[in-house]
Amino acid sequence: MKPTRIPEPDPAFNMRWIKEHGAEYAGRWVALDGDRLIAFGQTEGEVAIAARADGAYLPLVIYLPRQDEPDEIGF
Amino acid sequence: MPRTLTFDIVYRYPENAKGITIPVTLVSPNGTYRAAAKADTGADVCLFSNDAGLQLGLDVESGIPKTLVTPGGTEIESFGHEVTIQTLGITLTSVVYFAKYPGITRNFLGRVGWLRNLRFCVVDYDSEVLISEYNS
Repeated sequence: MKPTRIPEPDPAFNMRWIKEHGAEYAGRWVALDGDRLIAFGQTEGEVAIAARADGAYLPLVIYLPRQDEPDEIGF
Repeated sequence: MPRTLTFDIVYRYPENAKGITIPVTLVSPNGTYRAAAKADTGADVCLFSNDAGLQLGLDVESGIPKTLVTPGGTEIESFGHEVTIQTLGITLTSVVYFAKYPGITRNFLGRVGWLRNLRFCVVDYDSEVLISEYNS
């Protein structure tokens, strides 16, 4: 049976925030509700918990790499 | 010989991001989590962080065990779980793997569980992903 599609927030707002503010939070995890910063921190877990507590619908939890982090091949 | 493919969705990923980063919504019976993941045609499977699994309410280590290996030879212990995975409006039920330990800062969308179910095109010069469900 085909799974039900979940209504997702428009990622364009997340990406706009990352473009404008990502450098300020480089090396950290952030949780975004559209273009609103919910939380930031050093670990995914703490940021995910803060995002859940905020109550936003499907906040994006993402790590913002520093520009001086090594480039990657694979994982 | 030229071949024409059509795609339902065009997505512009962040130009300054490291890698081709796509928002992903994961759903399990016990939770929902929205994260970002890199499209990785070289990855055999999809790998997500341990925290992603916890946020989905999964008992991560009860899943199908699999050891993944990086190009540098580092082994990543992981466990597979069947979840709903939605990328850019395309919804699939797939087994994706979650790392045993916290600390992974990137999630990966690989072949089994994701790429194999899609038609997928990248125009990296334009920071564009074009995507359709394989059967659409």
